[in-house]
Amino acid sequence: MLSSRVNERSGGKKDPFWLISSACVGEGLLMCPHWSRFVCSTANLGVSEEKRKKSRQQVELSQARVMNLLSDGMELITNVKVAADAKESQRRTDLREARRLQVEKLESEARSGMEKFEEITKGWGQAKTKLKCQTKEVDLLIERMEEQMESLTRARRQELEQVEKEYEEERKILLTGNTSKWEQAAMARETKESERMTQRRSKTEEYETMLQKLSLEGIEEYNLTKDMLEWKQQPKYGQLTQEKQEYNIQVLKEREKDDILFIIRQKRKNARLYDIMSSLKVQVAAEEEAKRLDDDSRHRQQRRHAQKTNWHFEAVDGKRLRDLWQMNEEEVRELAERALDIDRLLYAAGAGRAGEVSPGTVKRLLQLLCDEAGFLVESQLLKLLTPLDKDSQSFIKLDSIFSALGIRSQDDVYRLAEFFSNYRHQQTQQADAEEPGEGATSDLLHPDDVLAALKAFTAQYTRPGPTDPNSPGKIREHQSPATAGTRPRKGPGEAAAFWDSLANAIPESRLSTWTALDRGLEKYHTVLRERWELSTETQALQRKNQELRMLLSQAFNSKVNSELEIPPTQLMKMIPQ
Amino acid sequence: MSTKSMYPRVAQLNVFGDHGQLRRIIAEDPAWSLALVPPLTKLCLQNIVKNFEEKQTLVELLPAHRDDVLGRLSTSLPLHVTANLIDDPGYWRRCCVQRWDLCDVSQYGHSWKHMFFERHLENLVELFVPDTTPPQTILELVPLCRDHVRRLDIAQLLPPIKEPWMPGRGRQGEGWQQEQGDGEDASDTASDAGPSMDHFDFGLLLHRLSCLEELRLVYGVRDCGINFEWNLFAFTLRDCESLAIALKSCQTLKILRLHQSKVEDERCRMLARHLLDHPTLRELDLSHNLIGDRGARAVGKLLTRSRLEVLRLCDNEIGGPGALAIAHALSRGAPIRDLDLRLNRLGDEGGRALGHALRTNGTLRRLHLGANELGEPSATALAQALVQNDTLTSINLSANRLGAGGGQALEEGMSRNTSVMECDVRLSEVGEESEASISRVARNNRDRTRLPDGV
Repeated sequence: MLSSRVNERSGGKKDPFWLISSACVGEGLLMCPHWSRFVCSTANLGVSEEKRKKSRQQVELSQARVMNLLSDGMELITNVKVAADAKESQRRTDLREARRLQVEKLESEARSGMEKFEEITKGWGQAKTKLKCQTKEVDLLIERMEEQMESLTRARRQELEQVEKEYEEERKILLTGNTSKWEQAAMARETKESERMTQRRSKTEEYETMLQKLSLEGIEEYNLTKDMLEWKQQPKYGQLTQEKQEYNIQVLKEREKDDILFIIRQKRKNARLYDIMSSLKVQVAAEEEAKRLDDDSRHRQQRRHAQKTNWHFEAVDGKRLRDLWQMNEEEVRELAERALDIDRLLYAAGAGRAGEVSPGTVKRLLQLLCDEAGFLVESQLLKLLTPLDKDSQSFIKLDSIFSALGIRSQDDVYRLAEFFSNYRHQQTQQADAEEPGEGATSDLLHPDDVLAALKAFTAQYTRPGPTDPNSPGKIREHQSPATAGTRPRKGPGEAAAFWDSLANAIPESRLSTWTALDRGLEKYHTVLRERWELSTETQALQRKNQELRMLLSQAFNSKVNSELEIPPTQLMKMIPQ
Repeated sequence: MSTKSMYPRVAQLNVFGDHGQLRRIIAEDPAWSLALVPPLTKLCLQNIVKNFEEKQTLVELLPAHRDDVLGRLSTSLPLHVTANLIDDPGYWRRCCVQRWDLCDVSQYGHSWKHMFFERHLENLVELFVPDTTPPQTILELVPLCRDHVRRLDIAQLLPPIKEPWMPGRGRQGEGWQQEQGDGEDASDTASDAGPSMDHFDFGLLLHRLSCLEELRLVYGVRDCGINFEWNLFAFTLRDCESLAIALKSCQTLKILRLHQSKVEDERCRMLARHLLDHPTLRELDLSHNLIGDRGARAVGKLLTRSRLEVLRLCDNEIGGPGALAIAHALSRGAPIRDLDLRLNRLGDEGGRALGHALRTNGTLRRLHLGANELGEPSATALAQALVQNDTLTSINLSANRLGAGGGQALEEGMSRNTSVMECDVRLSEVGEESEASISRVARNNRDRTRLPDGV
């Protein structure tokens, strides 16, 4: 049912299949008259009979085809609907069958239920009759029990009444007997009591009289005894003093005992104090020891501290010294350099007395170096060099020697040559000074002097220069304050030598020229100074002169002149005339 | 840009400037037009359109002007102004298109005005909530639309509720929980116990619509979504009564469709009783309801006492006895031409009865007995009817269990028939040969009937 409703819903307000089919059929039916009219119209136009037939045939054919198409399409479409209907009806029949089965089941259940119910009701009936019999029996039983109970109670009650009656009679008899006895006894007692009262009264009176008599007797006796005692107490004073003395003796004895105890205690105390004293002595000794140790350590510490401060100051001083040294050194170096430069200039300007180093000299020098400074070449290299010819041997040797000496460029070589030649000059001068007779044998160094010259060269050219930064740098590094706090610690002699070397940068031979130059310059200086003084003097004079001239012109031009009878101008004019 | 109106012209400001180099600056003004002042007629027409609600000036105008006004009238004008005054299809077309997305004017007799009023009224009725919506909203419209409403297709009717209820919104209150029990009891006692479940009373409406020819109703709620409850789909006895009386009062009605509204025997009988001797009713469609044999009996009686030509009772619960009643009506010469009993349970009893009735009937053209649990006896009875009957053109027996024997009988019957052009025996276990021969005969018949027309 539901599916069909859905079907309907989806279909909208009209049955879609019906709609489509009706529309199609309508169109198909409409086709016929339209086409027939078309056919008729063509006929009216007078087309031949055959053609008409043909066209009609064609019309019919297409009509039939369209109809077929239509019916096939419809069938295809309605197949769905039919299938749905079939399914729906099948479902409904199934549902109905299921319902029927269920109803049957329910009915059978109802029937069996009814049967059961009847059975149960029948059972109830039997049970009821049984119960009725039982109730009757029970009723009878109860009735009889009640009767029995009643008769029994009645009989008992009667018996009880009779017993009670008997008991009451008995009691009455007993009561009367007892009361009579009781009265008799009471009467007897009363009489006895009155008798005893009278007896007692008489006795008390008797006793009172006796008491009075006795008290009188007692008082008399007391007075007698009192008098007796006062008489006995007179002789007891002596006895009392004796007792007092005894008591004093005892007290004294006690005190002695106490004293002895005290002395013993004091002695003990004394011994204890001795002990304490000795222990204290030991303690004091230990303390002193400790104190001494303590002082010792403190002193050590102080010393260490002082040492440290000392080191510190040393370091600071060293640093300051280094700085100072460095500063001074630099200053001195600068000065020395400047001096050397000037010296060189002087030398060069002086006339180039040494002259340029000729290539031949250089070559000879190199040969000399090669021969004499072979120790600078590594031994292994020498071994390797042996097979080579002489020229290449010497070339490689020179190369290694130069690298050892820190010579890099040609300039350096020339400088070396120059130095050597200078050195020779010095040597020769010295030699001249010592032995003027000998004179120079060769224009080059003597082979023995080569080492010394080299040493001097290396010593001189170890400062940093733009041309040889490497190996002199190495040497410089060795001397630099950075690596060595060592240098300032060098012996004073060494420092002095250092400073001397610096001071003697200019050789002695040159110094004479220096001094001469100095003298000359001094003289020149004094001359210049004089000239300057003179020029200042002349300038001052000129100024004065000018001022005077100004004054004069003023004097001439003033009005006073004209007023004067004889103007000074005239006078002036006249004077020269 | 409206800078022109907001600020004075730059050129005017610059009075003291160099007159030799003075330039006019015209701001961008989309409204700036060099056209002439609009003619007075146009202005008048504009004014008429603007004030149409107060004063309707239309008939006095020249035809050209009238068209102009009609083309510019607002579609939101009140209906009492426009309904009787304007017949112009263009205006109503604009109303329809603005209001609904789908507008197929061919379904409304090619009249946009009819379409508008019919759909407007349908909307009002569909959203009418009894006891909440004032009936005036509908009754006010009736005098305006009575000449234009030919058909009403009402796809839902809302039940009454206390709170205003919107489809798709949650149901509130306990107004609907009253009618859990038997519908009859509820509707009988509705007067004194709680709110009634009655829907819109068509008695108010139908007799006033003087042109109404077709009415389709569904007593149920469309698009209820997850708020589904059985009593949203209740067709109470009072509903039925009022509807029946209203139908009786509507003397122009030709087609009545009442679908999916749980119409069972009692209600069907009531409807049939009131539709007896209806002067104009031609088609009755009670598909997808719960009509049983008693209801079918009433319908059978109605067939004999009315001019019904089309009767559709598909998807109901009509059994053999009901079919007997209808067959009786057929045999007594009811004027019915189209009978649709699809998806019932007529069974062989009904099938046999109908077969017997068809022997003598001379009016029925189309008969649909699909999915009706028919068997071989029905098939033989109908085959015999096919031999004697020459008015029936279409018979549908699909989705039954006719069996091979039934198929052979039908084959035989068809072979001696000249009128049936469609005989549908799909899915009815008749065997392929029989089915083929039956369809062949049907096609022959179809060709034969067509040919004399064509020649």
